[in-house]
Amino acid sequence: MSSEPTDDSGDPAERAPTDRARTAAAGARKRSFDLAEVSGYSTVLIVIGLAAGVVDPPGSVLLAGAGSVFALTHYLWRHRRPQVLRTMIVVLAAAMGFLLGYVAHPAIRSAWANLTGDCDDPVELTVLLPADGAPGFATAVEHFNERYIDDSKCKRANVTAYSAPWPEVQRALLLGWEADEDHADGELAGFAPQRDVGPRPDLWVAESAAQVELAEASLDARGGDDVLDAGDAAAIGWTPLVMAVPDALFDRAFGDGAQAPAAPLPELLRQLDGQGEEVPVVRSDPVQSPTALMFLASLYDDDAEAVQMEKRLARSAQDAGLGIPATDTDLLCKLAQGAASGEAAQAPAVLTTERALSRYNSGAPLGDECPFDPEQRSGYTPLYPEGLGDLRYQAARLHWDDDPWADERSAVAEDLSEWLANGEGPVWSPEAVGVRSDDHDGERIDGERRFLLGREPSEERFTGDEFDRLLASYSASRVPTSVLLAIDGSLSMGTPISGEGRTRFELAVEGVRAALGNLGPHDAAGLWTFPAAGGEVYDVLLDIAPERGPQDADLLTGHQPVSGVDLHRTLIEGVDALEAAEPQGADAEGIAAMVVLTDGADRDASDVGAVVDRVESSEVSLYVIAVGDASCRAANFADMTVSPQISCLEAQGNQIKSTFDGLFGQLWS
Amino acid sequence: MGEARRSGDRRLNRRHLMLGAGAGAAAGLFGAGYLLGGREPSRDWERSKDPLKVYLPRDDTANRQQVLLVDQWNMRYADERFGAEIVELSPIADQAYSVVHAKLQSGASGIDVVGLDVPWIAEFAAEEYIRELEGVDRAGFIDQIFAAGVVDGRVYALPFHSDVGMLYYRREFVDEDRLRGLRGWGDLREVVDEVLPGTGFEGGIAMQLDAYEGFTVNVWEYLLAGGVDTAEDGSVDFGADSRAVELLEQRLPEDLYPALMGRSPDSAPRILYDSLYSDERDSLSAFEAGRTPFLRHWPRVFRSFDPCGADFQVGVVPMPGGVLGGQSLAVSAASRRPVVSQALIEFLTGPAAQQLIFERGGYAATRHEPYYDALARIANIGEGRGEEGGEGVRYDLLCDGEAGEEVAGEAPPRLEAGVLHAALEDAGRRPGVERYTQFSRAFHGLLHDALAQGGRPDLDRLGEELRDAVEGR
Repeated sequence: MSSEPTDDSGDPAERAPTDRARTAAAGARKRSFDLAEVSGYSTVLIVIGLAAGVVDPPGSVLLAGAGSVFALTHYLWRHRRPQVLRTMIVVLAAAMGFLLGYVAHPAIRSAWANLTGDCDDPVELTVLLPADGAPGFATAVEHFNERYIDDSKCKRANVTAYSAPWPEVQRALLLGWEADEDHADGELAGFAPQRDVGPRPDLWVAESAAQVELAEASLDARGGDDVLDAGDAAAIGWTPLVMAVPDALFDRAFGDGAQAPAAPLPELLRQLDGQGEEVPVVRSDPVQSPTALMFLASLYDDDAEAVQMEKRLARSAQDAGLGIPATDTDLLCKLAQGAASGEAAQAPAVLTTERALSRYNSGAPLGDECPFDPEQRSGYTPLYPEGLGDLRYQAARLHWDDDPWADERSAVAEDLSEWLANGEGPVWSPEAVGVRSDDHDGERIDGERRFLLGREPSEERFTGDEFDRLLASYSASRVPTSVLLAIDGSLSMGTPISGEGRTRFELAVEGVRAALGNLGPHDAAGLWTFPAAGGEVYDVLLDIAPERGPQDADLLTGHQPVSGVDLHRTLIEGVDALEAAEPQGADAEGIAAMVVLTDGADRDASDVGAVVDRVESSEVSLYVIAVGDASCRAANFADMTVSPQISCLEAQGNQIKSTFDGLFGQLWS
Repeated sequence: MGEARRSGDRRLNRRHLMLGAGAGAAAGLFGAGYLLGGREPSRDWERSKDPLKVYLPRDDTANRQQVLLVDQWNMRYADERFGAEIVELSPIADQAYSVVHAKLQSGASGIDVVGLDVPWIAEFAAEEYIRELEGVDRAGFIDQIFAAGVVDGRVYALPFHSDVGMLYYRREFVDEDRLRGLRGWGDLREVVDEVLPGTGFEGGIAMQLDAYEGFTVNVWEYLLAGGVDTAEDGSVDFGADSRAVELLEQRLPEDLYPALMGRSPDSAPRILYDSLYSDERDSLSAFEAGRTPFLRHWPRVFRSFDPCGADFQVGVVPMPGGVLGGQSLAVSAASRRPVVSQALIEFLTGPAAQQLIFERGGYAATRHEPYYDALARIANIGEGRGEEGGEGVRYDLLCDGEAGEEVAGEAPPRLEAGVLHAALEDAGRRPGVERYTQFSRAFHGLLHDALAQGGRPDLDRLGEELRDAVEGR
């Protein structure tokens, strides 16, 4: 079996020198071959050794195994003899068995787990829901989670659903849902989407295609071209925008069978007013709520009409003691509380959705403040004016590039989208949560009362550009706001915030700067610090007046900490100052608010009542931002917030600026 | 002759060469085998220009002490390319679980250290998403708390800060001596029944019984305090005739609905009815608003009360049946820097860090030393006033201003240190199941609505349903 070449020449005498030469040459070849072979094997073995040390298992084991098999095979093949071949087969079989076992390990483990009844880890999926309507969709997701099982009845997914308001979602999308050091000094400073909004979603239930378009644009601008494709979003149902009119008023103004008038919304409002005095009309905050924003398209056509309409809406909110509810859920909760207490003199008409009204009617909880009402709620008839539009719920999948399991999550998200859109008979249908499925054909809707079940979807379609235009129009037309900012300048505000490298006071200055940057041309602002040196209660850094800007925050930078806070007197005198600064005459209508940032509650309880009385005797809204050791649960703050005109917000040290942003987004949007 | 010698030399050389090659190959194979088979992983810290990624829920410590500790680590090690960076997650447990589970499940390498709620450890260890920690020194840790990170005898996580159920009470209404001897819910019922009549409270205890994970913990404590035994693995028998089902079908509804015991429906229940819709914040608000004389909550809320307030004095004792919670730190199996990751964990759970977490952060430490330190300081103050130490919380020290005031820039000792230490040492375990999250969802999913409807729930299938949840069905 030798591979040496043979020589057939017959003469030994002639052959001898040739043989010697050949033998010598062969020996030389053999030696050089052996050397090369040995050095080659050595290299392979060195690489194996390095791989085992550098590459983590299982890669190192596979690499080392493959290298060993290669080296052995090559050596044995070069030196093959019968007994070597047998050895080779045994060694190869053993090596291949080892490698096969190693590679097949996960599959065998999984199969064994199936045999023994254990289940694989279900795919984790995160679903983002809109702030309005979240409980209904969350129930649907829960049903899906229970029923999404394989043949062994093992759960295929673990779905976690949560909700967040649209502006927060927009901000998170702008950052690609990651905290970003590049924005450390900008509008998004200190904003960490995973902490402040929630987990990065794999599926997002949006309230309109326009939102999905805007989201895609934000992600594209961030470099995430393939994360979201608006064209792939699945329609999962719709709900009409409606004007909910108190039953008695509806019957007087419109009579039976007139729920879908052709007249535009402003004309319908005039028709309502024709029944007596001006009917209050309320809605949620257009900046926070896509529903309220979409209503703007029907509320006014030109600037003059817009200003008048916004004044009327502000007046109504003020009279109803509603403030600026962020969502329709909050709005309806406050109305339910007002109705229950019997305080509301005239029930207002409400600009909302059929879905929100169905939940209101059903008595289901409307947030933490309005638990389940077994008596159910009622009293409103929905009006479906032509051209008002609909919310069209979309399920948009997000395929994050850096997630190795993005495909698995996307597959589950697709199944969930389909489930949400089509339902599963009695287990779940969009109608069960007040939403009309795309093929709705007059079926009953949960919580329906005097609904027009046969209404067809509107032709109206909103685009992302339309959203931006409406927001700009609102910003220009809304009533002017007067705000007095009072910042706690006591010693404790000098406490550094971990991870920020700045003190509470310095972060408050950043918040004030951002807030003043949002002023409209008709807005007025003032700036105080408290306490003041020399035993004074507060320092007036800026009187309440228009044309303030972010540069005015510099007035705070040289502030020297002072001890001896008298918060309650500051509050009472702040309300006085706002009233004194109110514009007079025809343009007198506006919103007045005092925003106070403090890290300690005033321990003197004796004048809490005086603060509440003073605020309630005015039209001023008071917002207290409690930071550091201060808590909204402190007895004095808790006693103050019984007044609907006084709100308390808590902010962690590093969230001071974002809390300011959120509040001023509402006040000055 | 000369030719033969040359030929013999050649043979000799070839033989030597072959022998050498064979020996070399054998040595190489042996070396490779040694590396593969008996390889000890390198214990050298792995350097990188990228910081270690530490996934933690939002830092709610009093002064963001978690962040400060990582800052401390960076001050020492960032220049040597061992820096670390916190990725803060939502403080809501379900949301934090979702992020951590998705990350670990995908095997993504951008996560090194992860903060885990105690019940998640077994699940992630079983799925091999987290690494076994090697060479851990357990000395100094409170045994019960350390054990929460051990699965099948292997250490997978070290405790960062701890939690345990505590019972807060309004001192003006409750005989403190009665509370110190509480052995279970039977004793607690007696105390509540003594306190409630004629006081105008809406209920006895404010708890967290909304349909979320808090429900599972609160009810689990209720079961343990009601005499339900746990098996060695922490599981409980939910069979049709079991003690657990008897408590859930009979006693718990009675504690929520007085009418089930033949009392007037208008009389105050032992457990505030609104607890069924309350989380931590709501229940605390109910207690602070004076709706109940008792509150079941976590240790960290103690510092939010003013124990010397004129109209609202709060005391605390361990909650009967109180179970352990808190955050532990583990190394992701996909981390490319496991050694330095473990070193960071050991730093964050070390004695110095735990002292800071306890003293400044307001959380329950996982080691003994901070408690002994606080107790020694309290005793010192007492001795300075010629008093002997007693059991429970020394409000007299605080309310006289002796310990409540800052002395020479030092924070006052945590006066509840002794009570808290005792609660942690005696704490029970949460359900010892691999899929705790699924278990918890099934548990509150099955029970919450049934209890909220006001009757006695029928729980014959409870055991079966919970078993399915644990098995992933």
